[in-house]
Amino acid sequence: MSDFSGLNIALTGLTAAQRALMITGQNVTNANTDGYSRQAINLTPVDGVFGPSLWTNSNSVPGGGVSVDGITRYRAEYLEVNAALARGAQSALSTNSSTLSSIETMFGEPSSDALAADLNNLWAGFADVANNPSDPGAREALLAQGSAVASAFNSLSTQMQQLGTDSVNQLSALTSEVNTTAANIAKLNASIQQAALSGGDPSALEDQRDLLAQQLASDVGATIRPGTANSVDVFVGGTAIVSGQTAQQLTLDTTGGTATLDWAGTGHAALVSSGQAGGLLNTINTVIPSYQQGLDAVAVQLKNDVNALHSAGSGLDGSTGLNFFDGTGASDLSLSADIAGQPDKIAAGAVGGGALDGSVALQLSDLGTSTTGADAQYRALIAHLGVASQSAQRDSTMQDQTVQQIDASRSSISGVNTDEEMVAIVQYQNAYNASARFLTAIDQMLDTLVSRTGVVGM
Amino acid sequence: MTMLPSVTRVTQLSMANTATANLQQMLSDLSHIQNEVSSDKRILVPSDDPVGTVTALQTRSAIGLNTQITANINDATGWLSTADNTLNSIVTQLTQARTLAVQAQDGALDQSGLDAIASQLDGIRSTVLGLANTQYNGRSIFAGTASGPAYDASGTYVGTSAAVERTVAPGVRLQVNVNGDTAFGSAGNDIFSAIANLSTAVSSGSSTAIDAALSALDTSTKSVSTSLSDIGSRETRLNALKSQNTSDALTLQQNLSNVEEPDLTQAVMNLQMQQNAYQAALAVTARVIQPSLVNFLTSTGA
Repeated sequence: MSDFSGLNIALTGLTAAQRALMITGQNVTNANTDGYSRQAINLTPVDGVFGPSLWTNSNSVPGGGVSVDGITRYRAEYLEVNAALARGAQSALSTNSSTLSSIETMFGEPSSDALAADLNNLWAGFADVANNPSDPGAREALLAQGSAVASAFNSLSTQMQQLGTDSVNQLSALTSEVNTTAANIAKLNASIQQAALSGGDPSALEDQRDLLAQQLASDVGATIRPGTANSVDVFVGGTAIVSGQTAQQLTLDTTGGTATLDWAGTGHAALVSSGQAGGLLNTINTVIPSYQQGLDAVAVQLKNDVNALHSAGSGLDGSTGLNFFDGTGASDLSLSADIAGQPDKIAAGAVGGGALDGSVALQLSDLGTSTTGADAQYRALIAHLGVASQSAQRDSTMQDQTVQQIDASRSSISGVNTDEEMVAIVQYQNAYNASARFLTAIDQMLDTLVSRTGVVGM
Repeated sequence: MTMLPSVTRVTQLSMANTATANLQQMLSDLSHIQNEVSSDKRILVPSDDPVGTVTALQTRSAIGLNTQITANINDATGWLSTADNTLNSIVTQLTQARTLAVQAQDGALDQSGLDAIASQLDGIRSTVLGLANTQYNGRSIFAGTASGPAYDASGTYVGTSAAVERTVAPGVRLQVNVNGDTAFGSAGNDIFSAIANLSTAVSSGSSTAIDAALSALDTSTKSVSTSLSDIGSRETRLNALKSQNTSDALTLQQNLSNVEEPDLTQAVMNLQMQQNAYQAALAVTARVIQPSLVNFLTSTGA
C-alpha cells in the first residue's frame, strides 16, 4: 500500500459512478423503446493489495476501490418463451376471428335485403303466380326474383373466393417477411457472438434479436429456445428456422387448391398451426372452404327442390320437363336457359291440370316453410357462422389478455421505471461527488505531506 | 378489463400500455352500444346473438309468409263471395222458374199462354247460363282451371273439375272454387237441361210431364243450395283464419322487434353509463400516467 493508492481508489469510484450514470441515462432514454431491456451496472469491491509477509494480514489492508464487472441485462428467458407461445396463439386467433367477421359481413344477416329475404321474395313470387297463373306481370316478377336469388348466391360465392385470394396474397407477403426476419435473427446471433468475444456489450443487439424473435412468433407461431453462446434458436413446427447463425427459408405452395408453407431446402411441409400464418392457412384451407361448401349445399338444395317440382309441371304454353334453376353450386346458380326471359314457360300448373292451374306454383311456394329446404339449411349455416364467430371473438379477447399479462410480467423484469432511474441518478451523482471529495481529501493530505513538511525553520 | 398482474415492479410503459388497452376496450364497448342505439338494431351480425339471429331469420320468413297469406285470403274472399252471390242469384232464378211452371200447370192457360211461359223459362235458362260463366279477376269461377268460360252457348260444361286452392294459413290450403259440374249437375242431368226440359213440358201442357220436369229442377236446385251452404261454411272458416292472420302479423312484428331491436331505455341507459365510465377512466388515466419522480426532483443532487 502506497500513499498514492488512495488516488486510485478515488479514480475507480469516479469511473464507476460515471459508468453507472451513463447506464441510467441509457435506461431513461429507452424507457419507451420497444423490446428494450433495462440494464444495471455490476460493481464489485477490489481487494487491497498485500504481499504474503509475516506481519501483514488482510484486516490491516484497505480495499483497492471498486471495479466495474459488466452490465446486467434484465431478461427472463422463460417469459420470452411463454410470450412467444402466447403471441403465436394470439395472432392465429385474431386472424381467425377477423376472417369470420368478414364472412359475417358478407352474409349481412339478419336484414331485409340479404339472401334470406331474397328467398322469401322468391316463395312469395311463386305464391303470386299460383294465385294468378295467367298474369304475365306475376310471372315476370317471379323471374326477376329467381334471378335475384341466383345473383345473391353468386355474389356471396365471389366474395368468399376473393377473401381466399386476399388471404393467399397476405400469406405470401407474410412468408417473405418471415424469411427476412429469420435471416436477420441469424445475422444478429452472429454479431452478438462476435461482440461477446471482443469484450463488447451485446445488450442492444440482443434486444433487437429478441424483438425479431417475438415478431416471428407472432407471424408463424415460432417457438424460442436459448441456444449456445448467447444465441437464440427459433423453431417452426418443431423444425429450426433459425439455428445459431443459419436461417432456413419458407415457401408458400398453393398448388391443388390448398395452401401450405414448405421448407425451401427440403420441400417438406412446415407444420405451421399458430401465428398469423397459421390463422391464414386455417382461413384458406378450412374456414372459407367450409362456408363455401355450406353455401353450395344450400344452392344445390334450392335448385333440386325447385327443379323437382317445376320440371313435373306445365307452362302456360304446355311446355313441361323444364328446370327453373341451373348450376352446380353457389358460384354458377342461375335461372335455367329454358325459362329465362320466357315467363310463359314457368310451370305453374300440373300437366293436364288445366290452363289456369296454379297447383305446382302453390307447392313451390310452400318450399320456403320446409324444415329440410334451402331456407332451413341457410339458417343453420348462419347460426353456425354466428356461433363460430362469437367463440372466435371470445377466444381472441381472452388470448389478448393472456398476452397483456405476460407482457406486464416481462415489463416488470425488463421494463424501465423512471422513478427508479431518477433515484439511481441521485444516488450515482452523490457517489461521484463523494468520490471527488475523497480525492480532494487525499490531495490535501499529500499536499500537507509534500508541501508543508520538512520546512521547519524555513 | 385487464388488471395489472400482482408483480412487484411496475413500469411507466406497462402502465401506459394497460391504460391504453383498457381505454381501447371501453371505447370499443361504447361504439358497440352507440351502433345499437343509432341503428336501432340489437343484432348487427350473427355473432352478436347467434340464437337470436336464427329466431330473427325465422320470424322474418314467417312475416313474409304472413303477408303472402293476407294477399291469398283477400283473393280467396273474392272468389268465395263472388260464388256466393252468383249461386244466390241462380237459386232466385230457379225459384222463379218453379213458380212459372206451377202457374202453367193449373190448366187455365191456352197454348199461347203456355208458350209465353215456356219462352220466359228459356229466358231464365240463358240468364242462369250467363251467371254460371261469372268471372272474378278475369277467370270464370265455375270453370275450374280452364282458361275460358265454364259453359259454352249450348250449356255444355267446358271447364275442368280441378280444385283451385289458396294457402290461407301456414300449411293450410282452402279450395276457393266450386266447379260447374258439381254445383249445376253433371252433363245431361244439369240445371240447364232441367230448365230446357221444363220449358218443353210447359209448351206441351202435360201436367205429368211438368211434374217430372219440376222434380228434376228441384234436384238441381238442391244441388246448387248444397254448394251454396258449402261456400258459406268456407267463408266462415276464411273469416276466422283472416282475423287469426291479422293477429299473427302483430305478434310476429312484436317478436321481431323483441329479437332484433334493442330495449331503447336500457340501451340509452347503458350508453350513458358507458360514456360516464369512459370519461372517468380518461380523467383518472390522465392523472396517473403523468407524474413520475422527475416532476418532483427539480434540481438533482443540489
